[in-house]
Amino acid sequence: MRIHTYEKLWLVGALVLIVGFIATVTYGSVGLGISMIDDSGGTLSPNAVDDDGRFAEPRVEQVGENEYEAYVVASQFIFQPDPIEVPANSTVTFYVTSADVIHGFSVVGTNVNTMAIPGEVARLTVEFDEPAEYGLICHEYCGAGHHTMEGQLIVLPEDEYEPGGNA
Amino acid sequence: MNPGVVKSLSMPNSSVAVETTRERELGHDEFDPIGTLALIALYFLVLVVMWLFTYFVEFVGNGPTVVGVV
Ligand SMILES: [Cu+2]
Repeated sequence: MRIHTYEKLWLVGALVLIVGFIATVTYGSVGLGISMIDDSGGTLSPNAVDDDGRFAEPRVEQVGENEYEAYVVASQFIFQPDPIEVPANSTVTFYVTSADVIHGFSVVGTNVNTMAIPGEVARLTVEFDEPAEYGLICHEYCGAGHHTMEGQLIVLPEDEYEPGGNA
Repeated sequence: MNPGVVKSLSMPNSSVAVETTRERELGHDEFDPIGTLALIALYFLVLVVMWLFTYFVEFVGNGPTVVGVV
């Protein structure tokens, strides 16, 4: 079979592009540690979120030197706790669930977002290096008050952070 | 309208050209669509730049990002 020179160029180019795409995503995953949110957070009874030790009292908890866990409940039309306060230079694992319908959990202006599904726990780990104030919005339509559903995520300077300061 | 015009429209020149003999034959490698090549190369370049921009600038540069153990 004779292949035209330009066709060969096209084949090589297309192959380079595919390999390039895969290489970039692999670099993001292995090199930068970027991860996908999966079902590893497990499930719970959607009617008994209050009975679950993690979500009965939505909060941020220190679990290691610079490690924190945030248990967040989304419901019509609020996030709990609000604001979510964490210190800078920390690794925070969020556990997000919903007490009623499907909600979104989106930290505005960042790549941190997930769905909050009744009966499911979304588990996501995020590293916060700098103090910052982020808006938190629901980005899954959840009812008449959806457009008002917002919260705050505040990354405090380390010396200003008080553990358990979240109401 | 002039009936002569209608007739010429319904019988375009191409149908006449098919019946004429070939003017020149083009070999396999003589076919050289350099303009198409240039256009596709440009598209390709745009695609590569857009990929690098969306991934490395818009996505990776827009942290914090969800991280985890692979
Ligand atoms: Cu909503």
